[in-house]
Amino acid sequence: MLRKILFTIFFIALVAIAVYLVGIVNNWFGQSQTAGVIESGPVPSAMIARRLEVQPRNDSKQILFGDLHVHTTFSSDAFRMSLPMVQGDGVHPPADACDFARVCAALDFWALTDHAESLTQKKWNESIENVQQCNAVAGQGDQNGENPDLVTFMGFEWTQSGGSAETHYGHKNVIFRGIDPDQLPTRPIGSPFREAFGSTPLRLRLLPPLRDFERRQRYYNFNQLIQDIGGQALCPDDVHVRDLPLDCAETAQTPDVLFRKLDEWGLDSIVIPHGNAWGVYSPPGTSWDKQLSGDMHDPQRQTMVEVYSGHGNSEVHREWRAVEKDDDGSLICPLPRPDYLPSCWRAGEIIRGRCQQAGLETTECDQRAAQAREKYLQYGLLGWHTVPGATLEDWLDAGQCRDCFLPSFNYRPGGSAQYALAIGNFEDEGDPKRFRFGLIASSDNHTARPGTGYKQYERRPMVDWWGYDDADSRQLYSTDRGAPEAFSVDVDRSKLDLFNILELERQASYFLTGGLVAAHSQGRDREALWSAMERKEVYGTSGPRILLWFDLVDAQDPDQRLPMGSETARQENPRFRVHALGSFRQKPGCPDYSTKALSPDRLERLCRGECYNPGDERMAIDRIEVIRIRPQTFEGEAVAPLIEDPWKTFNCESDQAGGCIVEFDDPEYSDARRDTVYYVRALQEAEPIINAGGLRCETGVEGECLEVNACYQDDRTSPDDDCLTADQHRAWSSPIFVDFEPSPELMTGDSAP
Amino acid sequence: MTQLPEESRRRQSLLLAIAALLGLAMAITGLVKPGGASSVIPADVVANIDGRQISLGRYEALLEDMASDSREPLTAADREFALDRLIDEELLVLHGIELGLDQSEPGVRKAIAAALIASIANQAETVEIKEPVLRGFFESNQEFFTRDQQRVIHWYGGKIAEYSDPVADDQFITGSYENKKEKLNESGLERVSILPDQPLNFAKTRDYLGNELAIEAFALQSEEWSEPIRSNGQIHVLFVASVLPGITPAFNDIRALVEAEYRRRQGEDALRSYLDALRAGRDIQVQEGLVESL
Repeated sequence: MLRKILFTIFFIALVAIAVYLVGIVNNWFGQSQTAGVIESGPVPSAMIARRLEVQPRNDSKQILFGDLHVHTTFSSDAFRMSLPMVQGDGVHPPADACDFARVCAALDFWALTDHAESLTQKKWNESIENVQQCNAVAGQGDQNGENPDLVTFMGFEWTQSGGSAETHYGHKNVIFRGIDPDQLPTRPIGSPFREAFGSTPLRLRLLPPLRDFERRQRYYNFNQLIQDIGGQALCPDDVHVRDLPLDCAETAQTPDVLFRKLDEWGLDSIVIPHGNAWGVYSPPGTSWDKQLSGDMHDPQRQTMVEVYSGHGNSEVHREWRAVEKDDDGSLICPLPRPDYLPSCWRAGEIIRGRCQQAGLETTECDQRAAQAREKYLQYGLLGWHTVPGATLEDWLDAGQCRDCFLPSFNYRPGGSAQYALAIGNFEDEGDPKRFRFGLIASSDNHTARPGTGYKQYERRPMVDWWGYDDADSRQLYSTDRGAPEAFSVDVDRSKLDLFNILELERQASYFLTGGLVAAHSQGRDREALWSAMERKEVYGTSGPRILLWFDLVDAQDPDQRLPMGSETARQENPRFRVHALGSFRQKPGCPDYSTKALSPDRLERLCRGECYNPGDERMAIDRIEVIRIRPQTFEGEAVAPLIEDPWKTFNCESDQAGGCIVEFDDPEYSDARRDTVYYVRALQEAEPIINAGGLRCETGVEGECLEVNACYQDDRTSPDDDCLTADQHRAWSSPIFVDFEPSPELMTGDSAP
Repeated sequence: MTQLPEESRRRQSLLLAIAALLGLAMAITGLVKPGGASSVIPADVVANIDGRQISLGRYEALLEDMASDSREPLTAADREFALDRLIDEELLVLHGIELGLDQSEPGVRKAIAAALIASIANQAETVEIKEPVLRGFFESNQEFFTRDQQRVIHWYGGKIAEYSDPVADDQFITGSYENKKEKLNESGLERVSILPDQPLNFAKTRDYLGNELAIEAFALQSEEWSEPIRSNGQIHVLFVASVLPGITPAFNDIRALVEAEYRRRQGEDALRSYLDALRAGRDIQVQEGLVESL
């Protein structure tokens, strides 16, 4: 009898445990995160006065600093980064971003741009409410709303990623002008990549809450978020956006569909592409070219490109590529160069080395190396999985731009801003299409911290971070890469998921603090800012508040100027003026008003004790560099010679109280008779920058990488090590587009050139 | 099947019972007990609280942080404040442990204190506030809600080496704006054009002028000139062309903000009362001599 009772109890216990495990898998215990509560309010020293009367405006504009690319833990990848198992510091909802922008970074404007694929109807509505609250606190609830202390825009990120160069268009942020319900779409528009945002492997749903039992609720909540995302039904295709069901998930496969849907909504919006040179998710061979074809580009909406973010710099073009093609379209692994080591080549060399170590014949090893290169290329983004057991150190600095400033990881030159400005599309021979992007920067921060680049500190919370907290977790949660065999292997896709598909371990050395967008605005209000962005009178910085003016000046009347972002047509040689001032050196800690605006605990949690806190001495501007680009005039024209970087360089005086001012003209313009694009970079004196050294190669006599010293995301690099290397922060102006307009004599051939 | 001896069967049954009960307990715990935070607390010297010690190293580290933020040497009051903060933190941690909020991870003292602070603040968040109370709070704190002033500022600057002071000149003091501008130009100071000729708040003025000059500018009234300001090898003279005074918005326009501020202060008051109660219930011993010697 007793035995029967005991067996019954034991059986019940087993059933209870089983029920509990089923509950974890099916997210019975998860809770949805809220948008949070905005705690910061205006404080006496930082609030904006409302005008008593209309003041006459003049042409003078003020430079406002912002961040148009911000994620909170409403994005599932950001939530994943917040989990204890990857050393995250907890959820950061939209309210945190509002307080950080206002108090820690002291921005003038920012945009909430969580991944559309993560945003359920409920989360989209909560985001809008929070953005409205953030604006209301700033003072846009009063009369004209002309002088808010912070303007918040609503938006989302369309997170498109293709498996091949032919299907990859890359990510784009969509920002809306207004924040009222009738000025915003009912739901965001995602990409088919939604599936990746709405799924987690079973072992990663089950194991973390069991291993980290005390903090299991955070994992339950993450699983709940994933379930909510995955539970949405997709909207039907080919139905007008305003006729779609309220609670479906809307997607656009390609940019033309995205633009069409935005047209159907009929709302004022700006679309900002970014990360096109970022090879962590852009396949080898990616380029801008196909995005000039047909309706893939909307010049009215796509007015700016994010040239720099916390995920790296995508400015410059290089001649090398990660993959080349021969005449019949077959993929070829390029040869190594002094400035670039192709990853496919390195794959071959890793295999060759192992083969030789195993004592095999040279010819056999040559053959295996060739196969390894071929197999690497065959798998595109997954190529690194074809070399079994390869460590981060094995790869050296393969795939990286060696002579670029803070480059994006696995750099794709065909996705660079310079390449975009240089190419043309000649489908319509009479009217070639070109990109006329303004250049901006932002953070792409995933911890709800807009504008993190004001100081270089606290690498973990201030830079996108993602690393398991110990070796056991790495072993348990990462894909087993197998033993280091002396031959390459096919990729078993069944073992891959979003946690292990990307080269995040190497990527960690290329995460940075954020950049800023600066707008020459006629006022602080939303309309003035929007107008500045539409005019492209904007520029980007790598984080500090560098002041920059770049104008085309009239040689006869210096007061007549066309500012950066302008488009003009002329025959005569253009003349330009650049004026740059370095950012103020930062004082430690936070200014007094910060401590009044937020409680000490919240100030510590969000700002980590450091805020934007300018002193009285400016950093020196070291030099101004001018880049000249002459866009293609026929299909197939070689792009590299069209980009002159730098075309001119001006060293600035050390004593520059009024900043660095240079003037120059282009004496070749008129003779060249080509449309030309000009933009400038202002480089500040050097200072330590997080991850400016990338993989921190020890180099040989020819500049080749002999050994790397990576900045790991986990316990292999001390949390106190901010991986600082000296480099020069900079600002990039928007271009001035000068179209050659021949005189009537030139057009008829009556005048000699 | 061979029957086991009676004693063995009893032992087996006992072990089975223990295992079943353990499993049942684990299952019930996982189902009903919410996940929560946990922490581990280290301790050391300088002060002793119910047997727990605040280390000298921690105290000195906090003093160092405070010193780096301050231009003046730390006073006795500063040191006292720092120690109070550490004692408050220790009390919260102790109480947190007694409540069962312990963890095994390093650096969780802040998490425990933050968790308790947040829970106290949350209580203030959930209390219903009557409208007359909120209005009364707004009326008695109007200064806090008054929007900041803006100024239109003219900024003249130049190098010290080339400067001859015109500001003390009688003609400068009594002259018109254009006269003064001419005098400044003659003295080597030019109008700095990067500063926009439009009303700017303090934060934006600081982005152009820097902290020191922005403070000087906002101390001036409408149509007032500053004295020459020397900074980083430069001379600056500021003129405030106009001042847009601060405006107190109507209560209804900023009701949400007023409520948020009220709740925040209620939370802080609640926290203070909570800490005072914790202090009253603990035996706190301080090594005064050691504190004074630092």
